[in-house]
Amino acid sequence: MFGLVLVYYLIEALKMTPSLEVDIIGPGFFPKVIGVFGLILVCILFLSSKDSKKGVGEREKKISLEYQHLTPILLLLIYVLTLEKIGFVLGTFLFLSFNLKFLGVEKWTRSLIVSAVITAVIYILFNHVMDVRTPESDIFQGLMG
Amino acid sequence: MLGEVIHNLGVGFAVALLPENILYAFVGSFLGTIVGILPGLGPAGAMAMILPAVFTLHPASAIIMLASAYAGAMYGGSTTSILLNVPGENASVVTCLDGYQMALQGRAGPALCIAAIGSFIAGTMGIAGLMLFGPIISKAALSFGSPEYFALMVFALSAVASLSGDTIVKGLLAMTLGLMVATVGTDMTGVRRYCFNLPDLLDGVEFFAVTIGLFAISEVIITTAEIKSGLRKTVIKHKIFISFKEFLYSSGAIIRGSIIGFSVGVLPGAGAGVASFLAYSFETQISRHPEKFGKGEIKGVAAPESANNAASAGALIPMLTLGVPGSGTTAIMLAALMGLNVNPGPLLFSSRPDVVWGLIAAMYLGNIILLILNLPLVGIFVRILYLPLKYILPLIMILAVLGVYSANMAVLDLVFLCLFGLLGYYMRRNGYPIAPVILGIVLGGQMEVALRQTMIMSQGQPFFVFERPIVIFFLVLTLISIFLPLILKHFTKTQIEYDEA
Repeated sequence: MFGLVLVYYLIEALKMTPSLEVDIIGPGFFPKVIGVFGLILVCILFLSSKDSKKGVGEREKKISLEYQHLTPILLLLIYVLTLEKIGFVLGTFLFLSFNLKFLGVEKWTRSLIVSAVITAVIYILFNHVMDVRTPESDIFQGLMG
Repeated sequence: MLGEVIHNLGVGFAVALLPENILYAFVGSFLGTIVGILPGLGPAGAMAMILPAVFTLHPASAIIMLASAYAGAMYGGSTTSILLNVPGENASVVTCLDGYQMALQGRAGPALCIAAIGSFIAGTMGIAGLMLFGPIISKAALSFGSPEYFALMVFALSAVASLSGDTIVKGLLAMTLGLMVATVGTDMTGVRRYCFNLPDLLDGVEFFAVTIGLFAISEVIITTAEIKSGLRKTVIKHKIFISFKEFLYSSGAIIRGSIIGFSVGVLPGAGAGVASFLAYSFETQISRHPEKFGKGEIKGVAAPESANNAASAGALIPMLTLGVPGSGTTAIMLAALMGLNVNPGPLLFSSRPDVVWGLIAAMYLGNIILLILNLPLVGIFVRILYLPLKYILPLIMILAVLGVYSANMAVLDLVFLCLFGLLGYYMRRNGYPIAPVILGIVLGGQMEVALRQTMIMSQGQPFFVFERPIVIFFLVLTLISIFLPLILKHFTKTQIEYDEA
């Protein structure tokens, strides 16, 4: 798979042309070197596939791959994609509530209260104490911040 | 000359030790540490935040506060690396490797202590270097042209060998990925590469989205899997303080890290990130037990932490003497100095001794305050690890999102954060080391620029670089660092076979 990415990367690199005459090796040279180097490595790895599990850490060996383990990342992806639509406050509150529930907080009420408190603390800390703006909403602008 | 130095330093301390300045140093260190802890908001962010406030102060106080915030943020960045595998800035990426492993083994306290003590010693050594060699070094640094930088970057890339353990091919492949990411965006001549017509990609892929994704988000996935499979139930009892034996054991690494860090820091542009990678790599190469690195070796925390602090002192030399900022942080410091009507340059040491020596004294003071402030805080920081993971994990994700978002306000960066998180998880499951990716990104861009400038300088003659002694020096070092471990390994192997026979 990474091999395919490398091939695409290399094809794009071959298309690049220098914009300045003095720039002797041009913008495509470095990517070409990287692309060729990467493809050689992929070949080596492919040929020596017997030790494909070499270098895996102890913790990584123990866990089993189940797709439900990726739920927090799926939630994170939904969270970041909707962040500028629904705003930081609502987004964070919902993201936290679902995550806490998934990770083992038994009662919904507890999960909702904890989420509300954490959201409020982060919002105040970032916007009012440290002066870092949190993402704002397109839809509820002025309403939800 | 030494008498003059001592006299000047005395003047500097007289300014720095005024009660109000000590207060500013405390406030600066504290704010810096807090901001440094938040992912993505590194030292440059910390200083940018207090910059508007310092202009209202007396120049000396302003510099003291900025210098303390700088030191504080450098330290804060390593705290989250150790506790949560979330690097606060690029100089503390390497600290994750052994620091987080130590935390998993219940040795978070010693890791934080050695980071604080190492930073203190390295900071002090760095400032001593700045004081004694500042003007001389700045002249030598001028002889560093593009070919020399290119050779230095090639040498730094050889650190990949020490970051990838037994799996050198996988390590090199990971580094290739990093180099590829580094080529995304507008290049030095204005050509757009791999931008896919997305305006947010014109400046390249956001560094923190990649780093925090690879380290922190992949860690969130792995910990979730551990919770769900019931592997992570027992709460480990954490040691709070470091033993004297551990300190003595790491002292060599601290001193070596400081020297490497200072030397790299002096070069404008190379920066604390490169310094920490090189110091770590050097430690694994001279260690009798290189296999311990990456599994909770305390020297693997001491060396890079010392190096990044010494590098930040070293980076002040080109800034003060040449007016060339070596990093984002020194650029802000430079802006602050100019805002205060102090113009850095070769004459600064003689024209404004009060500012230069005030700054040096302020950095000493900042170092001491940081040690006083942070050693007692170790106990509190370690407590974070006692909080239930189900609350910590979502919090890490939100802080990661805010940290990455604050850099460019771009949702695309956040998507990259998720993607690199998944990629990091895939890599770790399949035995690919993730640190070489960061090495590739840190070095890739600078390396390419140096190479292209070299070729322009030499008008396409690649062999011209071999006429330059510094280039040859670094290339020889690169060969040594690649082949020496292999030769040593061979020898120890034959030795063991001999002993067994």
